[in-house]
Amino acid sequence: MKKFGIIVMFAGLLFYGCEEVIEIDLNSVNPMVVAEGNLMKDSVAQLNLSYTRDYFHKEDPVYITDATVILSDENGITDQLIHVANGFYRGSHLKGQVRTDYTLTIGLEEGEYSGETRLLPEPDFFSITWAPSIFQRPAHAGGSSDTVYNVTLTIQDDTTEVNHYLLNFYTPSSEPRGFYLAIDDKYPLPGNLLQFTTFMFEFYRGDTVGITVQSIDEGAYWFFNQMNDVIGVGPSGFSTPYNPKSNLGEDVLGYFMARSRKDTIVFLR
Amino acid sequence: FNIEIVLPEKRAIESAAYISNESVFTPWLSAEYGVRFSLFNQIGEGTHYEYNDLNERIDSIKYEKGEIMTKYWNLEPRVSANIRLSRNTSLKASYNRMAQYLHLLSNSTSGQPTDTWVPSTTSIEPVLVDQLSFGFYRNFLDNQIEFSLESYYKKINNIIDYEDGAEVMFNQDVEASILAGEGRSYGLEFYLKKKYGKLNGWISYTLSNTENKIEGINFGHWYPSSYDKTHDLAIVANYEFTNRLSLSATWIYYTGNAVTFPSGKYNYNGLPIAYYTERNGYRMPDYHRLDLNLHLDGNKNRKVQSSWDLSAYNAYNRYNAYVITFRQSETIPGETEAVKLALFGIVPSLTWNIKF
Repeated sequence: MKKFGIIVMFAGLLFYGCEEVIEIDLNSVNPMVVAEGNLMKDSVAQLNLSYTRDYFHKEDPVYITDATVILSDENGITDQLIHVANGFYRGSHLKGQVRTDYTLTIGLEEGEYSGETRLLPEPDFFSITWAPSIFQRPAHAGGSSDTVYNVTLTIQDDTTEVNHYLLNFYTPSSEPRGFYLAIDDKYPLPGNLLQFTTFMFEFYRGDTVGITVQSIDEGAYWFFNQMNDVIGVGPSGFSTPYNPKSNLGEDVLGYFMARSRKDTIVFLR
Repeated sequence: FNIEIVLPEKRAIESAAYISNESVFTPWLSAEYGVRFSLFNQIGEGTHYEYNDLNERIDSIKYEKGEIMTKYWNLEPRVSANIRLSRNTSLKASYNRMAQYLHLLSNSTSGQPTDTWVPSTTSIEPVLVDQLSFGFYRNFLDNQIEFSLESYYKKINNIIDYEDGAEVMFNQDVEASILAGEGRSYGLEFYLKKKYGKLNGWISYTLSNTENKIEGINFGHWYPSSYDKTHDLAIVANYEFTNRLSLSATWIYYTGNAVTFPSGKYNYNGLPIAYYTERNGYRMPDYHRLDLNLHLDGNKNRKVQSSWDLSAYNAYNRYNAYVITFRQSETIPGETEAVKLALFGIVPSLTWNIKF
């Protein structure tokens, strides 16, 4: 016995999706401490302290203004960061020195949190070049009709340290990047050179391209990589949701890091 | 210019043999018992990698085509006993051990549901499940009505899940991003069926809890499995108007999947960042829909018989959530909103069947 059937479906209705803004009740949670601590070479330490806030509603940040914040170096020299305004703390005399380890201690009513970092030497630029991009999309495929240029930065790696770098390439009209560019020194080119080319950015002839490279320690490097997974107001879908690991402990969000920085500008003529 | 990401193929052969027997000890006591032997071989060609704490490859072993990369075997005993209390009433108890060599990895984010199946490997041991169940069965009205109430408890070993921060898309080293632990599942199943009459059908309802405990996830505490469904209800009804015309209706309801939503937010370096607390601490909206089908038979005495079905899938046009994403509000600056995406509402169809 044979059977067959003909199904007529109203296909237009089948694929009609629907997007709708909905209300979600979130669990009540205790606010977490958020710490953004930085120690730049030749500068005093700075720290922003606040609490996490409600996810959906626009709220002014809840600043922490009564913390006891102490920066100390490996030689035992200390500096107390004083609250200036809106959860912003600043040191007075202990400035970042390269090849030095630092510890930041934050004392709050909830507890004491401590994080360590190492300030590494500023990067040594070996060369900066630019050339037409090999990945330019043709104009008929939606690409620009102007020639797209990529900038290649080459850094002379310091082999006495394990180095990591945070890069930024921008023009005066660039929108803030929604991600961090961090590289390590695991696979240098001959001559201990580290090279990076801006394949993901588009620059054009006549652009003034600013380049900032910051030396960071390994912990900060992994922190920025993790931040790339979570930047934004919701799950990215490309990784399981999580909080980037802080060097200030499990009960703190954010990071304390020491950095040295080098800036330059190139004109694409 | 194309960038090709090739996920490594994994090959395996699973074999099994079983032996079972049924014994009737007395008119009111019978038992079925047996054992299943399963064997799983992961075979090459392939490469096994070792990883460090940063999930970077530090060592590798290459296998030729057909070479056995890893082998697992398990004995899976099973026994069930049936106690007949009367002509219409019985009790049942059973124990099963099961080995599962294929694992389902689910991303707990609601933004993009992705499931990946991975076989057992040198790094991923088979899931072992021990299950106990007890049931009460009763028929009424000359076996027109069937009723059962069953409870079960499962203990699960080597359950796996993604670690925090694992890449879930195009991950060539997914084994480095997996953690293993234990799981448990328990529940109560209710079933009532009317077998005969113009109106017939059944109701089934399950109340259950399924959770995992894996060191390194959710602070090592128990958390709901992605597919945990607290309530699962199905009602099926058929009504025969005539011997040619009938209407069937199915209503399904179940608790939404467990997912991980943000619990708060903060700014870092001027960028908004979501803050997460427990893994799978939230639920998608509950799912429910009604399916209707009107069936009309043609002349059954003909050599070529035909019938028509007019159906409505999701008859009351409910937009069940497929994914929930989050975005900056388009109307209120600084606020965040949750957006539900549903795939489709009502799907009507008309089917013509021919039998010859």
